[in-house]
Parts: sequence; C-alpha cells; structure tokens
Amino acid sequence: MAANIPVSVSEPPGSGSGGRGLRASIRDFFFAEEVPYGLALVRIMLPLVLLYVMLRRWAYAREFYSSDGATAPLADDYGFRNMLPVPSGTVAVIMVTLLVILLVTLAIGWRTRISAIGCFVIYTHLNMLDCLSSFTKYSVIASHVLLLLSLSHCGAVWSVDAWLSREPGQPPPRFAAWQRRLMQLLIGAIYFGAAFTKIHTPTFFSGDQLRFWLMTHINHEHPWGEYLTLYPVVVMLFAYLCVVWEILFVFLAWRGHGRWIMLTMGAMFHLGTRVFIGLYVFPFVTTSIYWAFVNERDVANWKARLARFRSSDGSKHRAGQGISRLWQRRVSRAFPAMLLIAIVLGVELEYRLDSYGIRRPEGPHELVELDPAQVEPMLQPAGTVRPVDLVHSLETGTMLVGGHVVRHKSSFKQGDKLFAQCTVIPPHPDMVIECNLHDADDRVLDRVNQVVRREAFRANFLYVLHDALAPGEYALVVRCFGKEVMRRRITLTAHSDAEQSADELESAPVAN
Amino acid sequence: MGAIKRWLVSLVIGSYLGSLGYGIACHALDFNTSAHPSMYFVVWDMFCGWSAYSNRLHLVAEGESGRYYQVAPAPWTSFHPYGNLPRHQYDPFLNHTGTVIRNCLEKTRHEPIQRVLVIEEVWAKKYNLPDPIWSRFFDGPRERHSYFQVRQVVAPDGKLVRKFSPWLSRQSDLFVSVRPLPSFLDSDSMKLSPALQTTTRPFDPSAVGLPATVERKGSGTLFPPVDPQPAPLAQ
Repeated sequence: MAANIPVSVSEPPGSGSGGRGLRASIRDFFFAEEVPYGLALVRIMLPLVLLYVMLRRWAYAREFYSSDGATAPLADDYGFRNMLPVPSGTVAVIMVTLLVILLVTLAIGWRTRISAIGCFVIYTHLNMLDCLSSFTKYSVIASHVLLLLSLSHCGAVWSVDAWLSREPGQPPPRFAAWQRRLMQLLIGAIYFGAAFTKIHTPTFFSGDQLRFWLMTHINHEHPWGEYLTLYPVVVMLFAYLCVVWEILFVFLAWRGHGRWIMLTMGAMFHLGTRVFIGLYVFPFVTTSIYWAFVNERDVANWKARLARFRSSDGSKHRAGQGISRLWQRRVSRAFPAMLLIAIVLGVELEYRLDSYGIRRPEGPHELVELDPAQVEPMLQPAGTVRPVDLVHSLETGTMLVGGHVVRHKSSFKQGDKLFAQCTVIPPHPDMVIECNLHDADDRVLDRVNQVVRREAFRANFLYVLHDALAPGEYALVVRCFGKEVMRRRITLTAHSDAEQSADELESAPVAN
Repeated sequence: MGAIKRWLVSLVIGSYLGSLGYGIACHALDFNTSAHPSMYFVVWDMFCGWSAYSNRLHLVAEGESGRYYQVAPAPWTSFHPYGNLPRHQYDPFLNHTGTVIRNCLEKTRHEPIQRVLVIEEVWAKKYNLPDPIWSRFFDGPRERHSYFQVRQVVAPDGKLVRKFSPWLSRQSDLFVSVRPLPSFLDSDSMKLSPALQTTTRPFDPSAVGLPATVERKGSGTLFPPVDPQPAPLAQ
C-alpha cells in the first residue's frame, strides 16, 4: 500500500503549487520536512567505500600519517609548512584505528552523529597529511559529504540508533531537507567545476588529452581504454557529451525525466572512468552519494512494489519488535567501551606487525642493492628527443572527421582517396615531415612534405590512388630530420572494369 | 524549527554554497586557485593537465663504496595506493622526496650513504600500448626508449642539495630557443665539490681533514643552505 506523501514535501520548488514567490520556493527547497531516507542511504554506502580505502592503509598508518614516517602534507605543496600537527606513530595508529571503527558504526548508524563527526575530522586530517597515497579528489568529496552527514539526522532511519530509540509502530521522524539539498548541490557544483577544467584545456575537445590519458599507466589496468585509442572520433564524442552532461547536471537532475537521465548518465560516466581510465575508488565514492537524490516518494514506491511482491509471494510481513529499555541502555553504553577496546587492540596489533621490520630477529631491512649496469645508463646525459619519438602514429583511412582520419584500412582500390594522418607527440619543434610513397622494392614514387608547426598535433597527407599506380604492395614512409621514423604497408587492388568505364577522374597528381 | 535555529542554518547554507561558488568562480577565472590548501576543497580541477610522455622516479642512493641502492620503494613495503605503482611515483612536483628518503635510510641497515639521486625516467606513451593495439598502429616492433634525467641531489638526511628542471621542460625550451642553450649537465659534472662532499655526510668533517667552508645558518647542521656552485642555466 503506497504511503500518502504530500506533494510539496521534498520536491523541488514549482512542482504543482503555483503562485508562490522565489523566497517561499527556496524556503521549501531547503526546509521542507522529510524522512531522511536519501541521507541514510549515503550514510550506509559511503563509509563502506571509505572502509575499504582505510583498511588498506591501516598497516601503514605510522609511515603515512606520523612523524615516525614519511608524511607528505598537502599544505607543503601550497607553501604552507607545518600547517597541521603531525601525530606521533602511536597516535597515528590510534587515529586510523578509530577511523576504521567509526566508519563501521556510521554505516550501521550507531551513535551516528558522533561517528560522522569523528569520521569527518579524522579522515580529513589524516588525508591532508599524505597527498602522495591518500589525498585525492575523491577524498575531498568524501570529506564534504562526511561534513554534511555530521550536520544531518542521517541516523534517524535504517540505523541501530533508530532501532534503539523508536517505539514499535511509531512513524519515522521528519526533518528539514537542507543537508540533502546541500549534498545534491555539491554534486552539481563538482560537475560544473569539472566542466570548467575541460573548457580550460583546449586539447580536451580535440580528443588529444583524453587519448593520451587512455594510454597513461598510473591507475589500474584499463585495456578497454587502450583499445579506445584506435577510435579518436569516439573519444571526441565522449568528450563533448561529458562536458554537456556536466554543465546540465545541476539544472536538470532534480525531478522528472531529467533526474533519472542525469543520474544514469552519471553512473555510466563513472563506470567509464573505471573501464577506460582504471579508476577504482572514485566511481564508487561519487555514485554512493547519488543516493542523496532519493526522496520519500521513491522509497514509498519501492515499499509498494515490495509489498506487492510479498503479497503475490504469499508471505506476510511482520512488524518490527522493539527491544527492552534495559538492553537499549546497555547497547548505548557499549559504544565508548567498544572504541577503547578497538584502540588497544589496534595499537597492539600494529606493534606486533612491525611494519618497518625493525624488530625482526635478523634486524632492520637492508637496502636493496642495484646493479651498476642498471644505474649507469640513468646517469648519462639525457640528450634530446629522438625523431622517432616525435611521431606517435601514422594512420591511413578514407575520410576525415573532426580532424581525425576514420574508416581505417590498409587495403585500397585504384581511384580511392587515401588520407595518411601523421600524429605528432608534443612538445615538438617546428619541423618538416615527409610522407613518401614507396613501391614494393622501396623505390620512392612520390615525395611529399609539410611544415608542422610546434602547436600542431597532426599532419594530413592526401593521396589519390589513380590507375597510374599498378596494383600491388606499397609503403608510406614518414621521415623527419632526415631520418625514417615510421613505415606503413598498404595494398592497392585494381578496381573492376565497370567502375573503370564510369570513372571520369583525370590523372590527377598522386598527392598534394 | 525556531527562528534563531533557522537563521543559523541559513547561515550555514549560505556559507557552504558561498564557498562552493567561490571555488567555481576562482577556477573559472583562474584566480587564487593555489592561494591556500583549503582551495583544494573547492576547486574541481580533476584531469587538468596531460602529457604525451610517461614518467617514473628512481630514488638511487650512492654509498661510500660506490655501490647503488634502491631507496624507494622501501624494502619493507609493497603498497600500491592507486594502481600498480608505489607511493613515491605520485609526487609530480618532487616536494616530498626528501622525507621519503630520510625515512627509508633511518629505518634500514646500510653503509654510509654519500648522496641520493632522484632520477626521472621518461618515455613516449605510445610505447604503453599493448601488442594487439601496437600492431594496429605500427608495422615495426616496439623498441621503447627511455630518457633519464637527474632531477634532484638529496643528502642522506633528506635535505635538498641541488635540483634540475624536468627533461620535458628542457626539450620544450630547446625546441623554441633561437640560440643554442648551454649543454646539459652530465653526470661527471654533478660531482660535488670536496667542501660540499664533506657536508653531505653525517660525521665530523675534520676526520677527513677537510673542514667545511660553507657558512652555517644556525640550523645545527653542516649542510649548506645554498649550493655555492652555480646552477646550470637550463636542463
């Protein structure tokens, strides 16, 4: 049976109640009361993701976050030395242990507000001490969300606190929606700001930035991303789609079709970053806060569907049973005791693990000796870039779209137009690039060159493969600075007699 | 909600949205984006740059015996924060190499270390393509060539002795320079002066008969705050 939810509650302004002023709409937008289902879902999902992140780093707490290790404070990069206090080794272990426990209690909603505040303070502080291996933009987003959760009543539903405090049959409490609204606006602001980043990068829309990011190996493996480099036009389309979506998100993601379209595109975008760029945690962090767009009407619809499913299934739903007040008090008091026990266990376990290996029976680790044959080349003068490293690729096709060659092929018919696109690698000087046609015996049939200015990324050569060229094997040879840097084999086949009789092409020059 | 509480909440909302808006405005106008660490929380500049070259850092310690040792990743760790690379690879501005070096040398057994070299290895990203993709782009075999560039010389206590520009920046300068630039400093000329050499070691310089001649700035260390040798014009 669907819940009877007033239309004006938790709906954006202007939805069905006309004649109100802007001030009233804004007031309703932020202060309309609702059951904080969306915040509860964020409260459950986000800490689970952060738990994975922090559990991986728990054993390295001393090294990453303490004065007994190698901290890398973000503030140092901004020129603000010693901005945040750096804890000692044991205190850092205590902080990380506490953070891990509080993430669990936040996810289950036990002492929710204290857990949220603790998570926000500790997580932000520790991350700011390690910009090498902890602090990234997903940490920033998580910090923002933890702050908003700590200001909210996200533990009022679907939590241990709710189970302890509520009487059986009592409806869930309602609160003003402003924390959830701020979370939604945060997501919109993130995407809007990210769009500006792309607008500031001229090579984003030509597909070059993305294309080289797909070849970058600083995240996890992403074979699909490397495969996508074969299709730069597709990359370019994704680039435009991405920017349009990021700009429109904050305006369309509020209700109706716009909401589910924007959120679905967002989920697909973040899945794309996982598949094509190799980001693991960032997509999970951002999609976990998409639950902030869930409102009471959605939950009512889900409950109604679930109720129909259970009715058709023949099973009956039993109302939840409360627990005795005695046990409520006992569970509440267990929280500080549990934290204390966890801290003691954490410190003892970290000591026994001896992450540095200082207390090993054989003593501290020895430095790994390097082979001098491996090191000596590193100490030689670097020299200038080789001509072969100025050229990224030579692609052949029959059409140009968006400045990229498409319809890649290496076998052509007489009469075809062949676009040979030489992509160069920046930085490069102003240079002359040749793209010459050789026959099967490596004799030069045609010599063509272009000036490629330092700001250019591609040089295009057009060959009209008229019937003066006999069918057979040929090669396109790219030369720069007097050296051959690349060679692509192509095959030329004869076109049919019917095509030849209809052919009205003049014997044009082979290439421009 | 009482009136006072609503005013406070409105203040929080206004402050929060104001900070987000400030970040977006600064980012759009390229103003104050690096003024304070707090800007990192409101400026959304993910994937703001790119390069056509991959790079890796090698932290190589040179002992008194002339042997070389790997300083990072440290022998006790195999932690990869975001993928398959160790932690020190995520230091693009090399602001934290000294700390990493100091910590590793403090926690390990080794002969006296003379100096630690931070070496950058750079190669064109096209060599990252897997074989099936490579064969679609290129007809010939893949022969990856790396360019190495010493970026920093660091003392065993983590103090920076000398630093050099990135290799890629040097190439960019060469490409646009009308006149030939000074030749790149090779490894031979990277040897420190005898006076400086003594100051890189954490023992009494009088033991080798070469008293330190550089001025102490009251830091309690013999290590000079400024390298008296002239830095190269460009790398």
